[in-house]
Amino acid sequence: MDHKTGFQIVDTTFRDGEQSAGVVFSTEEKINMAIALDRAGVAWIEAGTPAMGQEEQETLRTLLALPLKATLIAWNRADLSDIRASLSCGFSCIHISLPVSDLHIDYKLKKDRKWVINQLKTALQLVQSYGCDITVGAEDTSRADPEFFLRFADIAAKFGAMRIRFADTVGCLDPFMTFDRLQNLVSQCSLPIEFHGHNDFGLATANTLAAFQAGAQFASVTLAGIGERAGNASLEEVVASLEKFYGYHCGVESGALSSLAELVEKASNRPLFPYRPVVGSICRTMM
Amino acid sequence: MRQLVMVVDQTINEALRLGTPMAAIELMIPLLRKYSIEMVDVSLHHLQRAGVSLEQSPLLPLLRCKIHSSLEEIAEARQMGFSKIIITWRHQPLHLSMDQLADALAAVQEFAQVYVCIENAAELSTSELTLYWSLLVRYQVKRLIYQDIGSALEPFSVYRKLEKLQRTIPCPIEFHGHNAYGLATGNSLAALRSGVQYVAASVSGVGSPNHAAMEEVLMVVKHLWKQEDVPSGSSLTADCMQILSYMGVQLPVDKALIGRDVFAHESGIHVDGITKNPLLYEVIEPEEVGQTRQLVIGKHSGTASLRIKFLQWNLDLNQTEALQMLEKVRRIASIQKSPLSDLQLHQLYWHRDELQNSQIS
Repeated sequence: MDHKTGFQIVDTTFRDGEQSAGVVFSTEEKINMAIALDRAGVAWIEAGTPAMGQEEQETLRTLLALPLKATLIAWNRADLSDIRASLSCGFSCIHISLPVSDLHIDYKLKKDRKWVINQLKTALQLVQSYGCDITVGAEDTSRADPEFFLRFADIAAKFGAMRIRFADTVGCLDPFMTFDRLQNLVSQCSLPIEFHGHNDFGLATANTLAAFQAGAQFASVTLAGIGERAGNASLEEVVASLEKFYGYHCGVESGALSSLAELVEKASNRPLFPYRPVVGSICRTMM
Repeated sequence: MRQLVMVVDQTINEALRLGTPMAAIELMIPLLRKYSIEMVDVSLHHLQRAGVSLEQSPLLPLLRCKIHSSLEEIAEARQMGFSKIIITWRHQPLHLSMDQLADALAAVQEFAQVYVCIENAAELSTSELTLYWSLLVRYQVKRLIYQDIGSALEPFSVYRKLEKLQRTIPCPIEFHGHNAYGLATGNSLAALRSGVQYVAASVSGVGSPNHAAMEEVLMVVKHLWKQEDVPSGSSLTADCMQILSYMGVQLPVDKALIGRDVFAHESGIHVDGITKNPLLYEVIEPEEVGQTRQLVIGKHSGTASLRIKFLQWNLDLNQTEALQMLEKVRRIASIQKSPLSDLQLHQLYWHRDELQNSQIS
């Protein structure tokens, strides 16, 4: 367990968080949350998906104009028109996502692995030609062939990607499985790994910590764990746990966690469960 | 083959703390018993505060009373008719005398099965815990309850510590974790993995301090660990909601497995995927936990979602119409900060010709 290389938080409240069914953040709410995340020390903010349309692009331009230290990232499918939308917004850090499990490749894309690799190359060529920073997401990694993930990461590395996202898209891992998978991949992967965990069985935080112990270098999280279905790993739980269990300070101020969770509580109109870890009212009186 | 997982319920104890009436608690217990509940813990303090009398109650054989080591509390629990008693103990390194615990164990042994709970066990070394082994033998303690009152452990340390203790402990271990950091489910699973059979849990993790969520622990064992002997979850959501409603607790819509929206899909990519094959974006079928899949139309919808939604009503929408409607849908969702109702969608559909001809405003 070597943590010398560091472990950083990538917040995806505006992208995967807002994709939670029924949740819409206003531009003003996003501005307030972006400023709060930046002040708290979050270095990476996945800001949204420009391909969603003009209105979203206007919001994203507003966010890009804020004087933030954090890097804003645009999320994209490996689709040239999606990427062009991100470039025209003015993003200089571009995330490209493609599925890597045969399940997703066969049933969703109705393509094959070769098509995925070619699509990745085409998308990365375009992004690289604009001199942007690149991060790559491998959707459904937890159900994919590890060899294919490594090959996918190799291509991403060749085009200068900074890191590759291991996505536990449906939250089907437990912490022990996560550790085994990640430990195996970390030693062979040509890029640093970012772990993106979902909470379908209530294990997203535990799995993110397991990824940290296995040598992952980034964690993709959201405020109050908001996200698709049962949500994502929560920023508060991951940050507080890193400090509590490993004495590791990931750069995010733990004193800001409650107020950050309250911002998303208001913006999503979802009251915080009193029994919620770290920021729930019962936990706060006990800690 | 792993052994059967048994849950020791902590939901009822929280219900007592919240002042839930006994009549409601009596209705909650049969619902809980559907889910591998071996026993129900109740603390003497909450019972006394609520003024509950359990004399002659048919529930008594299922209940285990949590007390401290004082003789007054032991006498009170005995009078109430309990046949299972937990003596809660805090190990204090500078105060090594265990006479008080030994006296309490001797007193309880006269009338009940006795369990010892070391509430700060997670913060102790193996050698400190080993000091208790002879007492466990002498007083025929049924189980040692290894509590992590301060949420001091993460799953890998739970596994290591419990695996080591089980090599020497003279009785079975029960794991009682807490959830201050969001790791209680993972910690309980680590305990099970180490060979422990009994874990404390409550519906959606309620408790003060909070616990592992019963539904999460059981469904991981059933679906991720493929252990078939875990009870069916086909009415899990309704049962948990009913239990929480007796307590006046409102469940978050995104609570894993049992929240209202955990099988609701809105984003275009997900809805498109779900329609092609639900496994793409669902780890289990919603029916496995007594839920149904929902399709929500909102800001993140795509044209495929719209066409699928209208097809459910036998209404056809071509790609051009879907594209035009999508723009309007996204704008309405952004303004009202919520998804569109079925009525709003019908209105958009029946006025779609006007949409085509007019500037969207």
